[in-house]
Amino acid sequence: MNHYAIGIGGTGAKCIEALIHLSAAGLMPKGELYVLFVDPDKGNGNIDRAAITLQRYIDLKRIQLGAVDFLKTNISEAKPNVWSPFENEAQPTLDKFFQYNELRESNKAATHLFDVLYSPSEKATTLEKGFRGHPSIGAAVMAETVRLGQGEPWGTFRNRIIQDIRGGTGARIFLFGSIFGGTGASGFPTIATLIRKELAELQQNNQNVPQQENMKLGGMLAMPYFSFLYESQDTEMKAKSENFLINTHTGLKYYYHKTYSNIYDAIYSCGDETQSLVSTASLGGNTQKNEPHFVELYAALSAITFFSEKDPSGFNLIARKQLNQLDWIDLPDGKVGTAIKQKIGQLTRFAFSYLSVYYPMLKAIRENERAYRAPWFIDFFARENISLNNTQTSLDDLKAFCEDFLLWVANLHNSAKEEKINLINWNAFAHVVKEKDGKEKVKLLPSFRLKDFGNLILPSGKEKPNELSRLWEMVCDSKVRDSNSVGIGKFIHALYRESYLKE
Amino acid sequence: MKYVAHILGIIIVSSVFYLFMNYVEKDLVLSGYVIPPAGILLSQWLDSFKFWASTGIFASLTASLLWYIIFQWIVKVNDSAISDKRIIWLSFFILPVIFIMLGIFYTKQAEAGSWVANLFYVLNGLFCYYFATALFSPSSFKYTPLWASKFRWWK
Repeated sequence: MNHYAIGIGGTGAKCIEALIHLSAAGLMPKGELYVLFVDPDKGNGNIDRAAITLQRYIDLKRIQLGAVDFLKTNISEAKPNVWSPFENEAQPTLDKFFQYNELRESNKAATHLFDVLYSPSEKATTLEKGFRGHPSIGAAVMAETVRLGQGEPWGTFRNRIIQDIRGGTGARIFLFGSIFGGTGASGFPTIATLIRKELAELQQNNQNVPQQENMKLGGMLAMPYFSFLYESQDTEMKAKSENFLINTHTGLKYYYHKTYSNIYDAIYSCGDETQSLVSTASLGGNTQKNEPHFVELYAALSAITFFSEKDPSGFNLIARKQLNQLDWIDLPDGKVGTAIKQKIGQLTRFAFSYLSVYYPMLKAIRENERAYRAPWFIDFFARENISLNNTQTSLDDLKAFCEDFLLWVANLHNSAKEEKINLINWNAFAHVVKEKDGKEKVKLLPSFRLKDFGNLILPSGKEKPNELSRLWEMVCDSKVRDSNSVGIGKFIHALYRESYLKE
Repeated sequence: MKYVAHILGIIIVSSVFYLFMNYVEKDLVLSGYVIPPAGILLSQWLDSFKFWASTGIFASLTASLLWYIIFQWIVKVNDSAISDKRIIWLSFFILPVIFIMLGIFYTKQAEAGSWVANLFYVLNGLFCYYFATALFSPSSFKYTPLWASKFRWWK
């Protein structure tokens, strides 16, 4: 089964970012993952961050790791990876997009309808930074521009799905979007409807396209989970968090009346009634870079549930055991209930140890430090004739990926300040820094708290201050007999395997 | 299990040195080569050699076991910055060296062949510690002994 994830808008991009991290932890089921971002605001900071994480994942995937959970899933990104309905328009507006002036000459009735549906400011406001919290604009634009058969990346997207259905591999498509904003709220129903419709049409016109049984469509509809402040005198048309609940109410009514089940096989929904304040309120562009939030972890897990289940269906909601608290037990974790903790825990331990011990050691050896200090270096590098100079880029990419992951984890915990998130002891590797502009930002500690390594995964239980030493010894003893593990892949394989969380 | 194997390995290396000293150095080499000083029988001189050579080997065994116990169970590599212990490994040579010197000093000077006995004291004491640690150091420091990476291929 191949999987397709489409992140619509800023929230969609952040959910994709979460999905990439969970894929890195090996939580995805078998099959390839194809990722596409949809946003009129191509320079959106949230997309930027997710796209960078994705690119690092893809670069690291070139390392032959062998049979290990880390980076297990093959992820490919659409080309171009971000699709915007305004490809050729530098400063698009709704009236330019629908050629309002020309329409006024040729079709008065349509012009009047247009005037009834959209206010003058909605028609005239530039949309290069998104639909500004107005899904009615986005829905019209998306419906007019998404064409599965024409142009990229939709052409390749369609062909891959048809190939998966024909070949019997099967395809699962999952859309992430918010119900309360502009881009996500407009794209979520519109793009899904277009995908359904186009595939149905293809099927009617072409006998070779088999039934859609092999294709399932799911989506994560994010309910409000954050808010932001803005100047009260600001009259510019933009998304306002005070409207989130009204937007959500209207959106849910729409799905109720439209019988979502005609479009989606399964919808997952999640939000947080404590709407945490994001540090950056931005209209769009590169400055719209909101911190990761634990709701996005749920969103990514819902995609994984959808991809994994035999027959996903219905409108799925989830609840926590205790209000204002989140424990491992609250995460949707199949029947066993330990896989998520185990795999996220293993990746956290791996990233922590790589950044705090192994990468600095490799750096020191490259700068002429004595190699005998690190027996694992002699086993995995010197004896394999692997030069540190030739592998520096991969080691640096891994460092950057681990930093991204730990920052993502730390932000999940810091995202909802009034809630207690008991997953990882993030204070061991990150802290909150007040920047010059007064805003708080989560940053990695210059020196990690090494003694806390053994108690990274909560609940911490008995103190294990020498866990890093135990890991060092295990890596020194480690042998990788996997023929698909090659070059520095052997070292990463060994370190990842030994970072396994023993309960 | 690994730790037991390592400690057994250290004991076996020391035992091999002891057996070599007893049956090769003493019985085959020195008994045909040494002329003891006046008033001392060859067998008495050889017993004295055996005593000091055994003491030297035992000192090496003690140094090897101390090295193993300290760096397996007491010193922890929670930080890569503290993983360089070669100086300490070298300093553990002091223990066999002391007993080598005592052996050389207290073994009566023979008419001929004393230098061979002294050479055996030195070789037994130093090589016993070297091979025991080069082959069976704690995994985290397995290549700390000089040139250990050339011949240690196991856990």
